[in-house]
Amino acid sequence: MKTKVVQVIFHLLLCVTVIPGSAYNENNVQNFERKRDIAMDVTDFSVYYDVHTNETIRKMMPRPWYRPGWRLRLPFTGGPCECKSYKCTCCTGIRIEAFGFDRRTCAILKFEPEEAIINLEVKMSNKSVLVKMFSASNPPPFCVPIPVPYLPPGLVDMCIRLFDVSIVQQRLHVCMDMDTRIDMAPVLILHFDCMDMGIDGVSLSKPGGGGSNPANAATNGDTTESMEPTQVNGDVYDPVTEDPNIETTPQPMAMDSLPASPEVTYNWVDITSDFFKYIQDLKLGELLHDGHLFGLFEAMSAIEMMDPKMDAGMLCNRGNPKPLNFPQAVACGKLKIDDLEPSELIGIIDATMACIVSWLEGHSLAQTVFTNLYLHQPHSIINKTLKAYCIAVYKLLDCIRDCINKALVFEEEDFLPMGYGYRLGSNPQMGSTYDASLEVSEQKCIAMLREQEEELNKKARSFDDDINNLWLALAARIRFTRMIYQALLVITKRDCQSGADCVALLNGCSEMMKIIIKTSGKGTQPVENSDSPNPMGFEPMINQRLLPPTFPRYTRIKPRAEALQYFDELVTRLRHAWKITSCTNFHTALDFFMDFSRQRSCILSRSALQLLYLSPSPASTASSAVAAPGQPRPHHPFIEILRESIRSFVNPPALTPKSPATCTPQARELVENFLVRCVRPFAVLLQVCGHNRARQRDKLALLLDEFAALQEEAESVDALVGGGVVGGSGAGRSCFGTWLLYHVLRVMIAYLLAGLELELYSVHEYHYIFWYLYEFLYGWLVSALGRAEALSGEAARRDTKRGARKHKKRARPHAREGLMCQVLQNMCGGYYKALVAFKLQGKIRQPACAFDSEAVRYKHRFAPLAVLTPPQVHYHEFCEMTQPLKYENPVILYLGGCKHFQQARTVLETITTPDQEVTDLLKVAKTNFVVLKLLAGGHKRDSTAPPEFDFSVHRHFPIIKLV
Amino acid sequence: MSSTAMQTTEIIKDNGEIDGKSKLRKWLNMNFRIEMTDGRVLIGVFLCTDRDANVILGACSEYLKSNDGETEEPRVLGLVMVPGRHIVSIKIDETMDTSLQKFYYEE
Repeated sequence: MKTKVVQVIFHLLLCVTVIPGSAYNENNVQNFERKRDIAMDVTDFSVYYDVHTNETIRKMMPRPWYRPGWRLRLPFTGGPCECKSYKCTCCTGIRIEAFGFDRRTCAILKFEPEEAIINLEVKMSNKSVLVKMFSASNPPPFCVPIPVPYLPPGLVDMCIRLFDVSIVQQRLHVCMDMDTRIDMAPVLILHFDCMDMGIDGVSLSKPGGGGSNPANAATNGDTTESMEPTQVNGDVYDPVTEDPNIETTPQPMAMDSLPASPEVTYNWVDITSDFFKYIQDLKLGELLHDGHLFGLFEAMSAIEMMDPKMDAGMLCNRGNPKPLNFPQAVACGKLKIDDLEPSELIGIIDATMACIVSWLEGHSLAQTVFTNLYLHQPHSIINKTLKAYCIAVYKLLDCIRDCINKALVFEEEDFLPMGYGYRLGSNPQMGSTYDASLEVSEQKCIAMLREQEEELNKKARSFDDDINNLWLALAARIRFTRMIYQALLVITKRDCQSGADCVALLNGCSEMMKIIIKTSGKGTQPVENSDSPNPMGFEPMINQRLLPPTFPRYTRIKPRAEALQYFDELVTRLRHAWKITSCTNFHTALDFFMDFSRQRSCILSRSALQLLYLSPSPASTASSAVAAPGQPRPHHPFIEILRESIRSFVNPPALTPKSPATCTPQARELVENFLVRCVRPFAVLLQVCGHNRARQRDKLALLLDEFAALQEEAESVDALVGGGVVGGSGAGRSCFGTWLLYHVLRVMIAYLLAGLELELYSVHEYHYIFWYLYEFLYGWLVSALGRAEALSGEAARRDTKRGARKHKKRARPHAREGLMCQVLQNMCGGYYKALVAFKLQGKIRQPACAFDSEAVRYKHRFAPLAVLTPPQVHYHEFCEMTQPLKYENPVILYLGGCKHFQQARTVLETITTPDQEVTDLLKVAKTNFVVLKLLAGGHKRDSTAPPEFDFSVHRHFPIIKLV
Repeated sequence: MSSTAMQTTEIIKDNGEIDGKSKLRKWLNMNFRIEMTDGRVLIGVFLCTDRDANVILGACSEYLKSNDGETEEPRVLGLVMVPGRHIVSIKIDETMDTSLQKFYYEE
């Protein structure tokens, strides 16, 4: 019976709740009774769920190393929130035996109604581990990762999630979840009651607006059953003992000592010889294992010890002397904390910058920036310049991480947000000790740097020979650090300072970067063939034991010169990203995003762009767009942006204020609802543009699904609103549909082209890709643009009829875009015809027919396009339509292709103010024109050597080369 | 040497080869302490082995060999495979009652 209960819990991965153990006494009964009614469900590791709907959003494969049953125990208990006026305290005890983790964790929320600020403090066993301030006026859910100091950093962390935050008449409503995450996957999710804080008392309610939903009810059902204490084996679920004294007697804790978990005593018996004897009974290749929990799959996912690629711990052990930590290095004189030469300071700063760049390129903090020993105890440094710099680095890292986390456009290959137990926030230091007196605010940090700047400039003035340069060079570095920090603060926080400020700061950064690059040779240089980026202050192996089990064992720090170059370019990119703030129109903004992405920008500038366009970010806009039914419609500035976009694109009567179509409240409601529905997909579209190029394609495919749903809605809006306007030509008018179709087509084209850029297609597939683009997508896009122009023109006439002579003859707004579409359509046509001709002449290697099915490949390539209003063209249609060409003379095809490129070229040459894109395309079109002409003339007719497609000039449209 | 070790030798004598396997099976899901050739010590749950003594340990922690007796903070590794050729010694934890440890697998 016992085992069955346990098995049900673990194997079926059910939601379970507080379970007391068999070590059951009076005291525990009381504890238990007190906690019985707490609505709290724990979702097992296989499940993520949506905080709004409480629905499971996707199943996750449990990582094999914390599979249930391996003595990994997850008993837990949570307390109710206690609220007094503007302060609520929610506590929980968490014990994970396998990691020796047993702590009482409290989250204390304080609300300051005057400033609409929430103060969040997290205490573990009465030690403060996190203090953070939030604006209560931003409603999206956010997650504050809390490092768990006594655990391997990065492996286990906690996350307080505040959601449903709203203020109504100085009353704050907030709901809280506390997640314990292992390897970033929530293992435990505790729901606390929602809190309402305000002048007239406090109250608690269940998440989701009162009523307990079915999911919760089911959990509670399970709860009561498993709560029967006698049914549960005490060894599995120990009650979390909460020492009543624990609140009053804080226990001292240090980084280098494990929590005082009950001492495990082993009684080791040597079985080496027996073991080696017994295994000989196994057959070759036979695995001895426990059949139903462990199999070959799990065996394969184990990390192999003593394999240099997998075993990160091996390196710590290879005869190297143990790396010295900060106090040891200071004690033995290897680390100067005072009387540093300016050249040494420059060396340390430049090396740190190289580390930051390495971090931004996707390496872990532990192996990059925090190999700098000075950062381990910045407050112990005596040299003021270095101290100020080190503290500023902490703040800068925090700001960068904040920016990237907010934008949410990174994947694991872009960026590692883990902090490895280094406290990045307001209290720069390492480890679990928390000293409030070491708190450094943003302003204080900036002031410290300013002070150093002046000091250094003063020193620079007093010398006037060669050494003078060094002080100046040092001052430039400090100044750069201050300005980039301030600029990033503006970008990340958005509300604190004026915009012009940021531009000035970034310009200043650029200037300082020039000096820094020029003087990079003045600092101490890394020793040749050494792993350390600077002779003093860096220990590449210092954090090796903090790393998770499978980790790239060694990170090479970016060479200094390249890193400084990177910083220089980063500043340029940020300056460029700032220009988004002047993009008022959504279409121009979207083009800007796509253009920015094309330049393959770094993660920080991509994130900054996201934050600069929408506050707080497109990602949070998207996630907050889905309102729970019954709640008032979320109001977001993005809705206005979209409204304006539709207005300028098609100018539908429904959006003109005095139009009869807006008269009925019903129609207005319909349009508003549609706009609200648009928020998510379009915000996601912006977010997708921020991801790295390789990830965009899949995300675009997913987005098409959402657009499909939206198209249906657009149709019904058009049918009801668009029809009954002045004039009888209402039948063919579908303003919202056209606007949406335009975006859908652009996404589809981007999806197909991304395959070319990422080199996913083989040459023998090119023909139908280009065919699809040429015959359909670009053609549709041209007609969508034409329709939009007609619609908005009609609206303009409508206006002028009424006597409002605003713009007599509007320039055709989409003229240039229409031309570009024609160009690209022609280019695709050219490629298509050329490819068919190549095929007919046997110049393209075809896959052996036994292993090939063109139909399957075709279906696969165009699968995401299947769901939408521009109907997908199926393979059989493709075959029918292209049938005649199979009997065409290749020469005629080459000439046809030639004509297309010629046409593209002519159109391109009419474009005034050509940009890089136009010049590149022109080059491609011209070259291909000549090549096809040659081919038509019979050049290399009999050669079966495959032509080459060279994407070096343009990422999507190759130059055809004959070899 | 504990009584279990004594018993095993007897079983071997009685039943020959098969019981090597059954004895190994008894050790499954028990705590192992494996010392490797480079001096590190791994403690984890014995999950799997094969003829070459490649051992898989679950929920494994790595301990550095301490020369001066101080116990150092372990590093959590999770699921690891120790190649047989790198095993210096294997020890088993006899403190826990086997029935308690293995209750998951009983019907």
